[in-house]
Amino acid sequence: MRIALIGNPSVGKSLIFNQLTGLGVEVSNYPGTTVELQRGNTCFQREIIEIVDLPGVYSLEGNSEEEDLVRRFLEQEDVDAVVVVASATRLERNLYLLLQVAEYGLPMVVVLNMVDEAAKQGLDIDPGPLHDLLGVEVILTAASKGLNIDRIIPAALAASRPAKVEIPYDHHIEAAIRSLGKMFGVDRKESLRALQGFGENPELLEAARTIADEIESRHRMTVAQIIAANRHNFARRLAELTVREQHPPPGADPDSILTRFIPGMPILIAVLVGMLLSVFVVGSFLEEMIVEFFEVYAVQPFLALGLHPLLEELGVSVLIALQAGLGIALPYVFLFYVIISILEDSGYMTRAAFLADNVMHRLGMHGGAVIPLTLAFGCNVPAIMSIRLLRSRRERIIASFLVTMVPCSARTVIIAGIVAGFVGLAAAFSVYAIVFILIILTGLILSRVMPGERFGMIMEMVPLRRPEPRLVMKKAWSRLSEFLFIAMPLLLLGSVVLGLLEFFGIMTVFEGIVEPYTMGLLGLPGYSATALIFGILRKEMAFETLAILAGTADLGAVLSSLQLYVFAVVTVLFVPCLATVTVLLREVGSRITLAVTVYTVTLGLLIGGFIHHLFS
Amino acid sequence: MEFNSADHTRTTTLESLDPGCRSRIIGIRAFGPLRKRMLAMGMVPGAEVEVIWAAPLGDPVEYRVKGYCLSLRRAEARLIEVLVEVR
Repeated sequence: MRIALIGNPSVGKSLIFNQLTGLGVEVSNYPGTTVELQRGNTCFQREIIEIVDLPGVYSLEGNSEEEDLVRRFLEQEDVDAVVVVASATRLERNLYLLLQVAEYGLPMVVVLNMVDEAAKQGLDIDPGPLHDLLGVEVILTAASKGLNIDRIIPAALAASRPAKVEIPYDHHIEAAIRSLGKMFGVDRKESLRALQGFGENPELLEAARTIADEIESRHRMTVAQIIAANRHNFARRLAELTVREQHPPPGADPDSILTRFIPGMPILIAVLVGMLLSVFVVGSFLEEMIVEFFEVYAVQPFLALGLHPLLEELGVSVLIALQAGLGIALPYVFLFYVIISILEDSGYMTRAAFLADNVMHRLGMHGGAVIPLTLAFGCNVPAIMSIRLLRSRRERIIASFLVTMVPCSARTVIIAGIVAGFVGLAAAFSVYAIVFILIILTGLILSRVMPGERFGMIMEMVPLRRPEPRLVMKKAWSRLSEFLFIAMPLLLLGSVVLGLLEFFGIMTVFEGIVEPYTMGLLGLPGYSATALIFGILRKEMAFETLAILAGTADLGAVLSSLQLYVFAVVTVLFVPCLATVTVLLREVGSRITLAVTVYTVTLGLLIGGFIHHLFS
Repeated sequence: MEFNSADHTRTTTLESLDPGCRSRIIGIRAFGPLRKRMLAMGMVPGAEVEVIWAAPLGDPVEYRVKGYCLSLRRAEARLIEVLVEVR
């Protein structure tokens, strides 16, 4: 038995999903997409019921990955019943999706959620008309209070009859449906989809297209637009029958102050700075603790065992990878996701996106990109994981380039430790300036050359509400485990490979080979290349490795100011760290990851070389 | 912009309206995915739209349609033809 939850974004669907399923929720990516699908199980009358939480969508006719996924899911009919969750507070728009789902003719249950909020707004909800029209059970719920949630599963199990709805379409569309039905023996649902260009049968599509073109030339409106308008009209009439306004709705939104210049902008800046500070202070404190703990209780005792050198090298590589992974995962990924979930669930995210859109738009992204870009100053890893917030693949790709260039806290350590420590404070700020200019230039260029669909900034300003602590923790935990199970193995592998290269003296050979190039291009000794490569594992390690290879912590004594400056610039721009690469692979795929890596390496070497030749 | 003296209305695009203005959508000039998205979000001919507020830097703008709030960039609002009453 399998049940799917479908609904608009922010109608309380995930809250219902979480109340229906116990623990053991599995988050998986739908094959070939970055869209998440949550699956969970529940037991009802000794039967295991699988519940699938489909991503929130506004319609089934769009081209986004989410809409594609939901459409494919319904077409395959690989589900015993669908539960459509709609918000009673914005029923008319929710009904649009509901009607589309109902037209698929699957067994269905309608959940009208947030009846408590609707009551507060003076809306009276009558489930009768919906029930009569669709012939399915309609349940009024208030998920935040747990009201009537227990009625959903029994209703879904009892839902054996498919929903029946015939939206009266424009007479030309109705005629087209009839003639396609006669010509190809297909039903209403399939004819309608063919008219909108969906389906498998090429002859049917061809015929539907001819008819659609004819209708379009006569109406001066596309078939899709006529159908959408008819559906919207039907949804409006249905909403009018279902919802009665008891007293007039309140005027302006009380939360609209968040989107005005004052106090909106100061609040946004305070939220972003607060987010960063909490991560810098709490995150780096925890990271240091974990790293120190590993050093004292794992690395040192392991070295004290005095094992065979090869085993020792392997063991240390594994420990270093674990140290780097856990040092990032626990404090940063978890903390970030607590913050992001709060911003998302409270509805503040859409306000931030609204305020920042003007600036982000120039860099080729949606206003929502302000969150990943700010988070990246703490750590690139969760920032890359959060680019999923962006709607289109085009924006995600641009964001992945820009985010990996943002100097994270580890790179701040390098800038502070090497440049501020040995060269000077002004020089340290100039490194930041160089990086920021490069980020802005990259954004400006990518926003112009990047192909792909633009969805613009059509965004629902979701109502503000109090985030549910349990849901926030659950989300943060799922991100954390995702990082641990997916990124960790790659991190371990990378570390072991680097360790072995070092052990078999390949690094020394490598240093000899690259020495002429590093000297010629960057004016740096060969061993700095090794330090750069170890920086891939964890950015701070570039600093540590350089000190070890130089044989002294007083780097100023062995390298000139210019050399140190160039080294820092190259490290900061150079390849994103291994943990970032692993999450990049997951979020944007191998081709884009490779492009980002090649781009940052080239940029690092070019800028480093440029500075070297300019000042020497 | 067209004036129609018979019923005191004029047609214009959504982007040119000031905060507080109410209008009725009469056409969408967007194409492809953008159009589909607008339609899905309730920006359909016949719907009533109210301008709420523009973001601090002038773009995007918040609108109320079908009882909920929506943000659109000016470039997108320019593609929505509306009918406003003239007093």
